[in-house]
Amino acid sequence: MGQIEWAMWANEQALASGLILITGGIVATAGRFTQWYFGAYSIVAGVFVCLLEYPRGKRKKGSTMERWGQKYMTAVVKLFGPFTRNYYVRAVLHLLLSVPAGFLLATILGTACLAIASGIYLLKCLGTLGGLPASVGEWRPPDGAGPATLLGHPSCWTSGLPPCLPCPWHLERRI
Amino acid sequence: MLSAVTDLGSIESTVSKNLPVVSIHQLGLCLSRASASVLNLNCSLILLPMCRTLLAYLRGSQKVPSRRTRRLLDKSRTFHITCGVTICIFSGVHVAAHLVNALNFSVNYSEDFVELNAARYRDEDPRKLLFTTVPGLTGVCMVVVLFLMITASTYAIRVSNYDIFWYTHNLFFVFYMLLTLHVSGGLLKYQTNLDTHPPGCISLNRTSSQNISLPEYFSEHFHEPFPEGFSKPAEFTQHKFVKICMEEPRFQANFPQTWLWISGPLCLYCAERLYRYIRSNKPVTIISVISHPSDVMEIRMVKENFKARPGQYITLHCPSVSALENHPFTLTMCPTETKATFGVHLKIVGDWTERFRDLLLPPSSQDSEILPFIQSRNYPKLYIDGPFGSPFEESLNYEVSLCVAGGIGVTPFASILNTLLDDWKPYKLRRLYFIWVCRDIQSFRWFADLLCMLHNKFWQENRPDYVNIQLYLSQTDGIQKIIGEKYHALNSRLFIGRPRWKLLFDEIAKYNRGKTVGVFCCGPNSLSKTLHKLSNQNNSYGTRFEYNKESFS
Repeated sequence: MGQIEWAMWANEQALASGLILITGGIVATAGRFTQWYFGAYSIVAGVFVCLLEYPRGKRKKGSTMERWGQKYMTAVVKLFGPFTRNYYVRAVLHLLLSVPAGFLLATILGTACLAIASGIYLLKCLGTLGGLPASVGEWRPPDGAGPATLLGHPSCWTSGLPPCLPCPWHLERRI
Repeated sequence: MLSAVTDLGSIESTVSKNLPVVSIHQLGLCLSRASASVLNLNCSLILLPMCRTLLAYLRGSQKVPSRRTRRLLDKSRTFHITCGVTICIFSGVHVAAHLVNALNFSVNYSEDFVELNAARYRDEDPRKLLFTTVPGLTGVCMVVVLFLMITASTYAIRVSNYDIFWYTHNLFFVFYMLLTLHVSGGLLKYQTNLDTHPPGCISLNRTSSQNISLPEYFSEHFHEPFPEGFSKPAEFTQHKFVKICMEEPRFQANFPQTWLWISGPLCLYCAERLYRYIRSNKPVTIISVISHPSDVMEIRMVKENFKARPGQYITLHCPSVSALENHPFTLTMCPTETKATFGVHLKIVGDWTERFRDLLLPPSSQDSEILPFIQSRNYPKLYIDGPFGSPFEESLNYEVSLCVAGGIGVTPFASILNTLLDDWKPYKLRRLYFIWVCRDIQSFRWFADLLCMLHNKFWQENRPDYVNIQLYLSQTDGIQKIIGEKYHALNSRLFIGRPRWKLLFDEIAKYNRGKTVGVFCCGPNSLSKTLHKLSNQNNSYGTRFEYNKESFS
């Protein structure tokens, strides 16, 4: 199976859960469900999760594909220092954020999805050697050099070797 | 979108006809039904582009004569992704609408029509509705499965961690099973006795039990004065605008339409997977394994009843390397009538290919030159699946083709060149421009023999303009390089630096006035984009360039 980078998937999941929380919260507050204030909480939590997860972390090996406009959020997130870099903290944070939204029907799906994302982050942490807390790679400060490199080009492109695709079907995959 | 709009319209009218005057809900129901019909359509269509054997058959069969139709098949992955995104969006709408419905079912519980309610009593907690009914529970599970599948299908994940995408995407089968259960709940009902209990009719039994006198009831509901001269209620049955109910309404659940929508494509897809499994169950016989410079390995093999067209690809599965992984490789040599051998070229990068190479070639011989290494014992078992179609097959069907390869992207064109070497007359192709760009001069040796043989053959047959080869070495350290002493034809066609595409296109347009030139590119995205843009530009010679795009991850 090779190396699977769980953190990247957990990041996508958390971003999607944030959007689901926002949607559920809007449905709850607009529909004036009973206990609709949970819906309002869900919108706020969803926005927070989205902003936190928007910058894509650096990969262990290979190039990282940054999301559009990520560098602005990165500067803000870096202010929180080690709280946001550490995956354990992220996993626990997501779990705690997801609990209140579970009380309302409209946002219960957001809870489930954010809990799954938190679980994947936890899996990532537990999988590291010696139980050391894994941390998100250092975000590179914006260097003004323009947009990030094209995604996934294996390092052989820069090392002078020909493009290393065995088959055109998965042009940028290393297999 | 069309299905949603028409369905919304028809549902509005049906709802107002069938639901009683005291309606439980209107908008939430309409939205959820409309989005459900869009989901029906998309869930059935999404499976069709994945029947790759069927598509390969259609591409090659005589039944699809038009090139335009065949080019549609090139877009099958894009179509699949579009359907996936639509399913995602409309699932969101469907879930939101049903959440509102659940709330309305419990708040507006109607005692008059108990059968129509999903809730069992007034103000039943909507969460209980969600988790204790079959549609609710399966719906929640489906959303979770969809969430896992979609988050793992983004471009970033596919390119960096294909395994996560592949393993989660196989959850689609769970999704479809849940979908079949989801619609069997029988929540939506229609009335079976519309003639004896039309909507809006008055039930005399009920009005007496509610202690409302008849005149008051009528004035409340019809805003008209009680007509004079009517003494008996029975006479109302003959009156035109009011009807008396003969019997209580009876309801029956709608037949789940979804089963009709998804059964066809699901059966087709399952049949295709079964066929592919049976076909790939027999291992191939490896004839030879050849080591090429720049970390490329060639494998030649034979298999009974294996037929492939040039440009197609196969997937390799080697249980000794990895039990679950399948990897696609383009065929560089196709079996012909006289020779059953076919082959692939693999570039060794990544753990699967490294382990595969270590099994096939003992480490001591990996640094040796291009000598064929014949070792027929102890090869691991290798299974192949395919062949599957690709747009490169079309290059033989244009009168003039321009094929541009970047590095190892030359593999689909290698099979085309091998086919032309074998016999070029049956095909429509009359002129081929072949441009190969590499960074390392050693890479050209992968197919240097093939190119020289082809060049010589066409010179012998007095068709020197059939194949026009240009090789570009995009990076050099300044030292004069040649490919090899015996490759005269190639050395004279070797250029240093990147190709100047605009000039090349202009030259090809000038020498092929008024023709349609097929452009094929296998290489990095930037190269592909450049060529696509140039193909769409007009030129003064009336030549049309048709760009055939392969869709990569």
